[in-house]
Amino acid sequence: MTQAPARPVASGVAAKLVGQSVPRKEDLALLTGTARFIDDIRLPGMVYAKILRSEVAHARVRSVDTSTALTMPGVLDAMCGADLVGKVKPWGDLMQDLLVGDHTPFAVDKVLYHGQELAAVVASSRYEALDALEKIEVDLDQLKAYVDPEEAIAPGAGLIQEGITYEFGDGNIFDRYKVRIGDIDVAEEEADVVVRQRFTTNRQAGAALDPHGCIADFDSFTGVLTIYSSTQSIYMVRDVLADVLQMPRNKVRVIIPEVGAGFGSKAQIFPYEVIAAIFSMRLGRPVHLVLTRKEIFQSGTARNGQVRYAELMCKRDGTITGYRDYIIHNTGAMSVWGNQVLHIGTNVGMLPYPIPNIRVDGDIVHTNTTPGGALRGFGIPQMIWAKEQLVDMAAAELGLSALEIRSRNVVRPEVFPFRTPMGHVIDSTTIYDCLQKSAEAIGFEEHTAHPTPYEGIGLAVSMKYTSCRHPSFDTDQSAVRLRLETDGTVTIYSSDVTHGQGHATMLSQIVADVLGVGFEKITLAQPDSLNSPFGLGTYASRGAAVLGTACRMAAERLRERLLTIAAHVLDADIASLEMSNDRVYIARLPDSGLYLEILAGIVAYRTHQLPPGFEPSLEATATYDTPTEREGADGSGNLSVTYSGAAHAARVRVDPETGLIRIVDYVMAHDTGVVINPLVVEGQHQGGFLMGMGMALGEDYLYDDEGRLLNASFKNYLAPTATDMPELDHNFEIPAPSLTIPGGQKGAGESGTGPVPAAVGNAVFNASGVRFTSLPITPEKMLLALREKERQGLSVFRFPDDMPDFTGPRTHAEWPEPDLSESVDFDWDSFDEIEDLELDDLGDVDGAP
Amino acid sequence: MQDVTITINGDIVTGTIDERTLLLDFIRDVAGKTGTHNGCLEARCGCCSVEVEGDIVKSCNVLALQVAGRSVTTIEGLSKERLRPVEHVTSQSLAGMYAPLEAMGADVNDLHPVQVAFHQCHALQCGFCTPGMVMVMKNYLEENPEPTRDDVRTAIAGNLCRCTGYQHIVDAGMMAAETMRSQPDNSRPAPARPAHDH
Amino acid sequence: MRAFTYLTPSAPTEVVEMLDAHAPDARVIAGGQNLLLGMKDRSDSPAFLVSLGGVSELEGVRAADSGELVIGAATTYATLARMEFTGWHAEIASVCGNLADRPVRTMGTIGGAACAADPRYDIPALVTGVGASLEVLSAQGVRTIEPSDFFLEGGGTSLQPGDLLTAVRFPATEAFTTVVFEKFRQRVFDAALASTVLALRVGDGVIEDLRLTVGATTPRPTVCVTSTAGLIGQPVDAIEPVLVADAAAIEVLGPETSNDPPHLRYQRELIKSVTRRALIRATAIPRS
Repeated sequence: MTQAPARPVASGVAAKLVGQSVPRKEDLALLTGTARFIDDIRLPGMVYAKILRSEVAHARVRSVDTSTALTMPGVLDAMCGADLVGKVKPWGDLMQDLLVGDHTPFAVDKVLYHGQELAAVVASSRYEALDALEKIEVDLDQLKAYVDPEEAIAPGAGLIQEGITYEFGDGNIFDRYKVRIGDIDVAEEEADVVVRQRFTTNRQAGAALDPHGCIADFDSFTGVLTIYSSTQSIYMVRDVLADVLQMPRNKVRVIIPEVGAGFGSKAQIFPYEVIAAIFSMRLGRPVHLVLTRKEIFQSGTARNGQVRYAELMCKRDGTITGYRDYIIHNTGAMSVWGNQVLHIGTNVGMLPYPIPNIRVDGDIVHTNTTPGGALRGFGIPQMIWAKEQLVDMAAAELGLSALEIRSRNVVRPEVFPFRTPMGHVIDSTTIYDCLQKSAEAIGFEEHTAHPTPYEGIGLAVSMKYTSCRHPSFDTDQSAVRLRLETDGTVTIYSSDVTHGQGHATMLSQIVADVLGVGFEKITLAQPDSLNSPFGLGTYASRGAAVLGTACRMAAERLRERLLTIAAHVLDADIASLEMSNDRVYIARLPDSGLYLEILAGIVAYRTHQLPPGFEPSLEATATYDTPTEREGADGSGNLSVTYSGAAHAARVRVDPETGLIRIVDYVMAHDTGVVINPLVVEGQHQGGFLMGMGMALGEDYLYDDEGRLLNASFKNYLAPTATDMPELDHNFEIPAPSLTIPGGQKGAGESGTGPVPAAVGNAVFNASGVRFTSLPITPEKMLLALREKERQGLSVFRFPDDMPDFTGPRTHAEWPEPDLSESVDFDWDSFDEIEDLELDDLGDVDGAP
Repeated sequence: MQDVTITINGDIVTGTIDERTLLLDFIRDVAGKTGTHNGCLEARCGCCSVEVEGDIVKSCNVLALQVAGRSVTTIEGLSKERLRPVEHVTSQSLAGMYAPLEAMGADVNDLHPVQVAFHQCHALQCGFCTPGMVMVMKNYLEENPEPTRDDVRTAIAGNLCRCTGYQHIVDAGMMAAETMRSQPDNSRPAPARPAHDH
Repeated sequence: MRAFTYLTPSAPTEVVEMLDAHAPDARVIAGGQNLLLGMKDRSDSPAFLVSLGGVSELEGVRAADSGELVIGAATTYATLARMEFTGWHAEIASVCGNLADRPVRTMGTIGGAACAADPRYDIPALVTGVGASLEVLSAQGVRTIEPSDFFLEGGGTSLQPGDLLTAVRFPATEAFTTVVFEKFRQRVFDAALASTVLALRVGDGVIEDLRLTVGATTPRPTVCVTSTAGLIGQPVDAIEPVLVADAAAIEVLGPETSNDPPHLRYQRELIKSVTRRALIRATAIPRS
């Protein structure tokens, strides 16, 4: 028997934990290998499913035959698209509110992208399942594939999604997006400088190392389908899965194991979850379906690629007066979130500039590529990549420095809250100070005065949402239920899933401060739809601010209950009571008081000691829905509860012999409001930077002409390694506490990603004279651009420029325009007119006067 | 099918396995140690790294048959002491007597110095790459006790992490190296983490 | 991975017997770092695997009477990286310690890399670059193959079913004054996009032998002849790195055309850069 260690006697008032770099509660299980990720779960009688995926990108399905596969050793079941027609309900883009479903478990009539599901088998072992997949006979009639979104909307392009009529779409245009703020024509006329450029961005994978996967376990006696899934959202999976299978939502139980990151790529339901569920319902056995790395690259979601015809208008003093853009937004063959990426990314991406005149047209386009979707930054890195390079281009034309033009424009109101023309409500910000700090720390002035050959500095600023009222969701809520256990410990039930962000630690810090309970006594319960309160899930950097606020509210409610009981028992005035060191005490006497477990014991087992009529409950629940707005018809609106700020400065070195770009120094100055755990937030920024750097310098989806994904592997998908990274030790927090969020927090998770590609792009231009207009900037592109620039004898050069002969500023008339010819171009300000229109149309059909 | 015996963390494990069984699968499914993770199955991500008699390998790219009869150390083998029973504390008089937080990371009888340093430096977020990262780091620091930060970066170049940006992992490697240098028997507490610049 | 039978011989002759008995469906597995990748994605499906794990003769390094350095085919990169070789042989350890990543180097073997003959791997370039020979055992006995006959022009090797690569024989230290290996890859664990081996023997400041080989850009490493012609007999100072490197790029990839696709143009530039670096490094080393 081991001797119990000496125990410290707690006296006085415990220090507050919010604001401290408390080492994480989560770590021990993860560090010792006892944490259970999806692939670590073993259920009795579990069998293994594998999916056969299309090797071509675009084809008609003539037939899929699983009959031979069914005769293979160990095979228990097999199915394909035709087997499920009419039996499961298609699902789709959240924007369409599930009314239109373009997602099915398998391709039925048509394959739309390389890697789409064609059939699946389930067998006693993984090897048997894989052996059987080889016996499935597939007959496909290949069609021309569209990889380039501009080609997909060119006249005469074949239709990718057939048989689905989207409300606002047309051909391969799935939806349209518009912003109309101020008067862009006047802004253009009155501008002293207009800079224009066509920019393109890459597809990027979340590539969370923990593979996507699930285990479905149907109990035919109770009719309950339990699904363990590696996902970011309990209820998005539950509600959509129940809907697809036409089951009551309380008969679908979603349990979420340890999730090895998501970055947005696990913020939705996937066909494999439906396939595993159906197999389990057909067999009455637990079905394991975890994807391979190749499958995840092929069929997980990827950051939407964009083509932007972007223009920035400025006055002589550098004031930004207008922004115009036509965006072709590649959302892949289908998408759940891809549409909203354009809305949110463009809306929030206007920050940190309060631009008065904005006109944006966007076409959300289907191509025969991997479905687009959420990925850390959600459209903002794409927007910032274009806009922050235009800012540098404008500065150059105006003879201003990159720092001067930004200093003039970043939002810096005298009074908060401040509403920008785009509708953002800025409740606080230090973005100006962040900008100055980043420029100073990178040595901006010194470098400008004494540049080093092939070394360059670039700045970029962005502000990032902290939560999001998505256009499809008129909600932005998270919830927490707290339970004081009968021994004085506390359990947190959360609506949102932690998958690396450290919710257990962050929420425990809040609870510890409010209830005075020891940090080590607090446990975060596993996410489980049968126990967790309802909320949207972990995305949009909502954790600390939205979930944290729900947690603070719940803790305050529980505190109120406990104080009421203590006041009764101690016969004290409730106002004189404090909580700390696991007890309630009278303020002047911190070493006395009632332990929480005594109070819990009273509620649970000695209820006669309660105040008369007091409900004996040890629980408190709170749901926090942010005071955000729905997107307006003109595209404006305050979609986020508050905005964190990020000013980044990059110093890069270009190797003129190999094209290799090294980031040799990188400064991140952030406003993350009140930081609950500085070390965790620093880690979020560093991780956000990695994802931005990958987007800037290497990560991309490479397709051949027939739409085959060529690099669905970490072998040639260039995820950054430790040796590619700069030392990220120049991090600064300049907090402006949010005035809207009770604790003052702002979103941390994605703040570090937004400015990175633009800061790197600007630095590369500064180093080499090459203005890259497309991402990623690979060593190959860098070296070829340098050689081409030398060949042409230019000092500055845009690469790759689609109009190489171009010399002067382009006019707006030269850009392509969205083609509205075939669709109904209604007035977005009034939905009444749609109804009128429909009535008129009906009139015509009937031949009525 | 074939009988194979491999010693895993000191335990002799025997299984009748399909020849195709990877060392990774043997560890996870035969020995039941799921701390070694499958992140890519193509010897790239490094999540499956384990030691075979002191040498580090990616267990997803080694057949179990290739290491038959040999000894393997996995992440679970680094902190065997932690498996001793935990006293359960319930009475009111013991309130506040749960092990203080610091003990979780600083009790070096429980954790390997690399694990301690990862905890103290916040070198893990989702934690999926962590077992492989810790194994490679330990293996490297035993070979080179006085690395530079660049050495540490090169040593873990075969291990991907998508969460941390690697900065805190390199911090942890340097901290662990210091601990391991100062106490080869791992019996003294780790040095405090240097203050961070915010 | 498709099913296979795993065989565990203990002597090279036994390996050859097994390979013959099951030809052409048998493959040798040493570290398996390349083979298993193909087997897992089912692009490679041997029915029999003949393991070298128990064939200790094939591991290790010895000096032959001729002065040659004989490296057993199943010797791992990790072992070689730790060796303290003399003279230019140190470059072998350096190359083996700077490819793939730490765990892969534990298992990966020099013979495995030679047999995989992936043009982007470093070993084929190094072997070709220093003119090492490959010792092969078969039922017909032992034969020694020069790299130009071992690595086929269109890719792959000349090994036949039933052949076992037993050793790589590197020339003696006296063969070269210096050997320099240079490569470029984007990430540390990526295979090379271009590599150059420069093997140089200098006596009294005069070039006695010079062998320039470019790897990773052609199906097998290319030994540059025309771009280095006339250098032997010249003083070391006569080497003009830029001119030689530019000529090497043309020799390896042919003359530039205006239709060259971007990747070809990039390879050309990289060959110039790594070759220039190799030449500068080699000629800066003190000449005996």
